[in-house]
Amino acid sequence: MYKSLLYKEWIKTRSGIACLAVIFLGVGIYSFMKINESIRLLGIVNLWETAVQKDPAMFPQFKYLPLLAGILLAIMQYVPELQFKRLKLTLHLPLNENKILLTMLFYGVIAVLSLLLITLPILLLGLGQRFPSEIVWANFQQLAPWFLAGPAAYLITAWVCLEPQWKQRILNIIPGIIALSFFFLRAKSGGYQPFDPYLILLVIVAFFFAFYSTARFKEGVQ
Amino acid sequence: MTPIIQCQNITHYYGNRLIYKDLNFEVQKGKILGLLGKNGTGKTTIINILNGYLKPQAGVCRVFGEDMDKLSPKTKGSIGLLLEGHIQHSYFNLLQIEKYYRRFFPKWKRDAYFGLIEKLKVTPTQKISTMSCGQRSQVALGILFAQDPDLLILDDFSMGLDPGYRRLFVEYLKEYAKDGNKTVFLTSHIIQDMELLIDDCMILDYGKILLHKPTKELMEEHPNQTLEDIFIELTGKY
Amino acid sequence: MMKNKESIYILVLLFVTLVALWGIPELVKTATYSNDRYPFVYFSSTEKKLLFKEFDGREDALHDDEGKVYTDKEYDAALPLLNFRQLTVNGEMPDSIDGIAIDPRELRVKQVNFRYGPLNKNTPNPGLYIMYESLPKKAKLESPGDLFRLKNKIEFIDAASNRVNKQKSEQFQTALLKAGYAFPAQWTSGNLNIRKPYDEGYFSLDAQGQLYHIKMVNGRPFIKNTQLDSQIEPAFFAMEEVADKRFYGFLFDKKGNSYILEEDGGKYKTVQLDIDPIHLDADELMIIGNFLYWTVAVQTDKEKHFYALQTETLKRVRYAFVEAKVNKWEDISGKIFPFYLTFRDKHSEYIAPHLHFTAFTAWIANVLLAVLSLFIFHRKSNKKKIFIGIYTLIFGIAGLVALLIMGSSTSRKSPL
Repeated sequence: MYKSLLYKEWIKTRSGIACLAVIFLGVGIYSFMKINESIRLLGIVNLWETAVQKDPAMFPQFKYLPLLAGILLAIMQYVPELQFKRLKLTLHLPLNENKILLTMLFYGVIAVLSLLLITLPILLLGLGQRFPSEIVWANFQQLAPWFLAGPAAYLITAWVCLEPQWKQRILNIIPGIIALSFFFLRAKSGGYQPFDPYLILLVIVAFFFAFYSTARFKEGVQ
Repeated sequence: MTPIIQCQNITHYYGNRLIYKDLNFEVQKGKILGLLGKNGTGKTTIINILNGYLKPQAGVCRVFGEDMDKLSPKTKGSIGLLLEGHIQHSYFNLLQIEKYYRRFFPKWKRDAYFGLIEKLKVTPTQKISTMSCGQRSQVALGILFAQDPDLLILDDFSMGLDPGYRRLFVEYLKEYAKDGNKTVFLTSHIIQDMELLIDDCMILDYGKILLHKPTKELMEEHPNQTLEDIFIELTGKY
Repeated sequence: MMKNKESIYILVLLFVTLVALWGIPELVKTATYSNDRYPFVYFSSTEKKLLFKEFDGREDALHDDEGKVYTDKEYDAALPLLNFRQLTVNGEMPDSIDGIAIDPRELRVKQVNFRYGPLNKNTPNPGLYIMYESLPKKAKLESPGDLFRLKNKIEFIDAASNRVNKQKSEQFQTALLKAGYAFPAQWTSGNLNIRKPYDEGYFSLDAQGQLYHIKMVNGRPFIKNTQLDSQIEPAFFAMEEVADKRFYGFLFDKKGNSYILEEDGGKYKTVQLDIDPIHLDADELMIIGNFLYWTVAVQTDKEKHFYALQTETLKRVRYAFVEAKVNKWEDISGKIFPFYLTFRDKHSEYIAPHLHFTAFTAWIANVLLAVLSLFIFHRKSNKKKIFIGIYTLIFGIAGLVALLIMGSSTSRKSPL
């Protein structure tokens, strides 16, 4: 039965996931082209020195991509459910309602995470071809909050989308956006290190938000 | 014998507008009950309350003896629910939706679904969202019949259907309910043909039930009148 | 689904409160924050007083530490070593001060500009450094083409191949061990900028708290224990390749004492700045020096201290201090936010949650808000009102905003 539920999520999102995979691949290739261009134009020595002196982001193109992926995936999953209140059909299935929602959320989180966890090592291993481990590590630390914004954006968007009332949905967007801005504070590479555990905690806590929206849906709040 | 559906003292408001006060009714096993009423009298609201999708201000409904907001998975599995407008997961195609639902219902009757689908002149890989209203309704009902539930709850099943389709479903429903083990709770705002289908008739007006009795009895009380005539007489023309 | 609704509601409410606890003060701060505008202070080598230049547009903007007011012309004339360019153009530059002839070259090379702040210390460090040749064949420094890491061992990584240069690494590793350097390194400090006038390499604190000088001379490692006085426990070093090569840089010990590290006939010597110890994780230190006197400013959270030191001995000749004016943000936050959340600390480059408690009086605001919340939610049941009141009392504006956003309870209001 859960397999069926996952099948439904897959049908809803497969085109979106394919799109995102293509975008990630394209931007990934572009990032490496940019780095190679810099190596050609400035020389690798210069680039290394700049990396330790000025701490530039090697993958600035990936700053908002995980966020977008999370938002897009949640929209693809939950907008059709709320359209014409199809969620009634889903919750009417002979399964525990909490487990139904849990399955849907897990599907989305895992989809976002897979995309990110496939991308991340590719970026870092690629960078490691021409850069020492310290610079790779610095870039990992820079990417970490941006990538964590992916599942966070997914869960917060799910919370907003599943909310049945328009007024409340807009009210939810405000703290949602502010919370997502926590992942994009200006910082040096490594500056986020003490904050990353809190961001992970935020992602875990945000997992529960959608249950509140769904409970309101069940009560028939309009 | 406990009734299949039992609603007690349901009171509900939307904002300050009273929908019903102290609504009580029961549906016995094996019956087809038609809930008739004009637009806005709260037919869909009752269906929502019955399935736990709306918490009324007061009162309780029980389906198969379970409180509406705590329906067990097993009970939900034996209720076939048709949403107003024949809403289904229209991003599926005809094969995908069957594959999706099949795993949830142990008594799944594949032939019931494909039998209905065959009547549609469409390829099985066509997406439901690209189909006409009548075709979509056939898909939604096909899924319900394949599910083989003990209780069918149909919210305005005739909406948007041409007379041919409507007749087709009336026949399907009669066939479905004939052995007396199945119960049907349906709402409609089109009264035409209903006397052929429903065993019990419940007419809803703003805030209350005007009438709840067996259709047969009702027709006998009003000889030479159709159910539609009786309905208009009771509720007024507009 | 209904069972857990109440607890999830509380979770969401707390989340929104937390967001507001950060967001609302941040907004108010943006609207009200202004820098502490302390006066610019410089020691007059002719008047032997600290001269103040205030920026708040008042009449006596230019004055000395005894309150005497100066005109623009008097002020410029009293600071010949600061305004020498202007005075030279006007032909008003004195030939000598206190009988010491002013040599323009000396004036230039003995200038010191240094700034230390906690941000210099509390910052992530990539752990890679550039080892320049300290005796370059050409006048300018050249990129060595590699970087080095120094933690559990020293390793040079060649940029072209992205591989460890084994020979060079071994050469330095051997030299470090031979000089007695104990791994792992605690910290290493140097100046990575290639545009510096010359190179003195790095100072690195080893595992035993010994400070080592590490540089490359003629392609070979030059490594020396500075043999500091055992009383000095180095906490931070700032390399300053100063023009006159008098010293290597500024050293701060764990007690907050400030020193310069001088070269002393092949050995190392510390000269302590005659100022009060500073708090390295909170205070900022600024030095503007000329060949006669250094003016040192130390800014703490509450005040700014000014010291004039004699350049030669670094002994104190004059001292003054100014209290901080309460800025608008502090004033307002102390009235409306008993506590608030920030993720950035002005003393650190690291991001982390910090809860700031302001004035006790701000709790009055929360009491008023709690009363207001009871008016806003007057139609709720008594039990809910108690919750709303207490919640607002604790979380103040953030709590009330969260309650307004999320609704005060999970059930819909009844029209009855």
